[in-house]
Parts: sequence; structure tokens; C-alpha cells
Amino acid sequence: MVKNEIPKQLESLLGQPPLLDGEDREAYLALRSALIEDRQPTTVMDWIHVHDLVTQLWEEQRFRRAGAAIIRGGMLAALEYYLEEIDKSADFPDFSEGFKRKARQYFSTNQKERNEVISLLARYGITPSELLAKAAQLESSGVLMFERLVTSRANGRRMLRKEAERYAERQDRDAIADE
Amino acid sequence: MASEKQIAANRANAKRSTGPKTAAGKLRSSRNAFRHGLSGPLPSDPATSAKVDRIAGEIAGDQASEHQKAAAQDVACAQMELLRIRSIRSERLAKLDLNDSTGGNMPGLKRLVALDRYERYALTKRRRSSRGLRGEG
Repeated sequence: MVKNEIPKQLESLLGQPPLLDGEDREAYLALRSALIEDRQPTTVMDWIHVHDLVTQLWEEQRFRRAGAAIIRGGMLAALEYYLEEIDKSADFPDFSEGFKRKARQYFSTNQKERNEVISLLARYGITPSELLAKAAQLESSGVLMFERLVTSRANGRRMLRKEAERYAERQDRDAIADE
Repeated sequence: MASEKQIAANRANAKRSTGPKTAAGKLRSSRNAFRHGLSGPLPSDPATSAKVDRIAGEIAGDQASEHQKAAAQDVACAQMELLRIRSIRSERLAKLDLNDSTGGNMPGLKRLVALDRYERYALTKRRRSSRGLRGEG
């Protein structure tokens, strides 16, 4: 059970949790609860700031995951790239089934088939981390876009923190002036 | 260089394709450049206005001056825009196929990144308006 719910009357102001299919609702609510606990919002503007912060953090994690996923998505292309190079090399017996099919074997549930591709690549000095690096290079445009989105969330959080601090300072000043 | 016959054919064809004729076609083509509607103001339908009023009421509170009520209205509008932008962003991200290594994602990704600009505008608008809540600005 997650504590620190947002007040009912502010739900339309802050909207529903912006979750995508497959995202962990409990994790989102736990993050929100932790930030509410930390910030102890009282005014509506405080609540807005906390909600923005939760959104920025959540989106930052989401874009990091998407960046990693896009690299994984490029693995097939990276495998095809290396296997085609190997296929072209004169010293190697040709792939009777074609390098594209060979590349797909890397993702086979049959461990023997998978190991065959891994050891073939290893013979040419291509390690799994090198494959990942090639996938990242092939997908670099997409990776950079997601990096940009992540950086903009991190900058946004800094701005929000400053804004919240300024707002709290003004409130303190007003409270002192009222006394 | 086009021949006389070709020029005549081009002119004849151009006469046949001068845009939609029916009201429905004109209505549809008037929306051709529409992407997400974020560069314009919030829709002015009664439901949205009522929601903005309700949110503004929550922000301003009962003791607010007219100036503060107006500022709260602006904050509410900016907040609604932010929610709209974030919702569109989620929809766009969900549509991307992250396993596609053919570059087919790039247009969608560019549109996703472009949304940040609208979010920055809305955040600035909200920040400026919120100063009015405190009697500043």
C-alpha cells in the first residue's frame, strides 16, 4: 500500500500517472510517495512542483530504458555487419545459409546454435561487448536523441529545484513580513 | 526543355488539380498541416474552460484578489498544456518500434524531441504566471 497520495481535489490539476503499457505502476507510486515525503508539499504550487519532479524523474528513467532498447534493437544489424565481413573474407568457408540467417541464430533459443555464432565471432576477435558497441554506433542517431531527452530532464529537474527553492524563500519572507 | 505539347498538357492537368472542391474536402485539407495542435491555445470548448476554472479556483483559493485570480487562470492554462504535451509524448513513444534498426524510427523520434520545446514554453508561461499569484510581476 502506497502512502502519501495526492489530495483528491488536485487530481485534475496533476492528471493521471502518465504510464505506458508495461510500466510498473507500483514503482511510479512509490517514487511519487518518496518525493511527497521528502518535499512535504502544502500549497498547490508545492504539489505542482513535486508532480513535475516525479514526471521528470520517471521520464528520465523511461528514456534511458528506451536508449538501451534501441541499442539492443541494433544488435541484429551489428551481427549482420560482422558476419557479412567474415563471409566476404577469403579464408573462411562460406555460409551456406547466408549471413543474415546466421545472424538470427545469435538470438536462437537453441544454445548450440547460439554458441556456434558466438565462437565464430570470437575467432575473429569480436566479443559481445564489441557487438554492443557496433549496435550503438549503428543506432547512434536514435541513441543521441534519447540522450538529449535524458539530459533535458536532468536540466529540467535542476530548474524545478531552483524554482521550488525560490518559491519557498518567498513564502518564508512573506510569513516573516506577516508576523 | 518541355515541348509545346507537354506545356499544354501540363496546363490542362493543372486546371484539373486546383485543390478540393467540396466543403468536406476543403475541411479535410485545412487540417493537412495539423500535427498536434500544441502551437495554438487550448481548445475553447466548455469542458476545457470548466476544467481550467476549477483548477484556477484550487490554485487561487478563496481569498484571492482579482489580479491573483487572473494569474491562477494563466497557471491553470499552462498546467493543462503541460498535461496535454506529456500525454502526447507518451503516445508517441509508445508508437515507436525500438527494435526497428532500419531508421524508420527517426521521424517519430525527431517529433518526440520537438515536443520538449513546447514543454519549455508552457513551463515558462506557468512560472511567469505563478509570480502573479504572489503579487509579483
